[in-house]
Amino acid sequence: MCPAKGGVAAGRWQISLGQARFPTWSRASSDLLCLGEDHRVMAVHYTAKGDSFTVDKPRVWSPVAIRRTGSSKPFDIAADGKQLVVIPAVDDPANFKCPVHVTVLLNFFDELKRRLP
Amino acid sequence: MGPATQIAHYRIVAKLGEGFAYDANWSRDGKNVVFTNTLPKSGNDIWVLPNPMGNAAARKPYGFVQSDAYEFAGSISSDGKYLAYSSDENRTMQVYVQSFPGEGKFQISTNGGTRSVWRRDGKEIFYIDVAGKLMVVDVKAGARFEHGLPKPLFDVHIINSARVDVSPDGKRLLIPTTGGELATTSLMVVLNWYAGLKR
Repeated sequence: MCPAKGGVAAGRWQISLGQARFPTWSRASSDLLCLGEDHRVMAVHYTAKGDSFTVDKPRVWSPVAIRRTGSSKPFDIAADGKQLVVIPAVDDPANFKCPVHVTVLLNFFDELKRRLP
Repeated sequence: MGPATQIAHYRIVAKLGEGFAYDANWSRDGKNVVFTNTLPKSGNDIWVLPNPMGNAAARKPYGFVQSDAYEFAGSISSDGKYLAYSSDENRTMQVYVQSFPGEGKFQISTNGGTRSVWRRDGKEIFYIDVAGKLMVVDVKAGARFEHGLPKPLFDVHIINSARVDVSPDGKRLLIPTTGGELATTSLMVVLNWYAGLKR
């Protein structure tokens, strides 16, 4: 086994999601999840076929706004793709007296569709 | 007309008290959430919240890697038996793997390393070395942990503190990038890196 030399060995695509940050592969669907400009988690459907990789317009995944934790990703997705674990940021990282919660976000819109088709 | 359907948007699963927590990482088996917790006395440590969706009595967060060193960016292997994280316990920030739960520990990186991630099948660990190069290490989890030497993949202008993410099929990497050939903050998808290595 030899390491690749001179950069990426195969396809590479630069994609833009506007101001969205912290991209993550969904574990259960052809979506990327990211944090939108308004601090809500967005889902972006992607299509990977042969040499192409395209993304659709972002859609809201959860209406709950997450406050950013600086440059660290503020969420992670469960293996079933239906829940996110989130640690909301405290007002001031230097203020250790702020209580911190671990929160699970549910995929509100998919659940809504399931219950009210 | 029946009663209105009510759907919760979120659920608070743990209250951590004082501290600054970040970088939550949900294990693939769903049994644990690993996060970095900064406390005034011990600094940055790796904490675990077990059974995040279980009953309240079972959801007691605890410190798993706690020392005077700066530890962060923990993630659990897909078989749930090992934890990868970064630590500067030997002055240079390096990537380590520790049995989970347990005490056996292995240094994975050689030329500095941070922000490690497991491939979904647990056979490789990716991390960024001190020169900003994306590195890969072959690993064998299971009852006994084994690992190879780090191999360079390519330079990445990754956003500070961000991690690459490996697609579920293990064939693509998602890399938040900035600077370099890319003028603004962007995302990059890289395909077939493994096939390139095999050539």
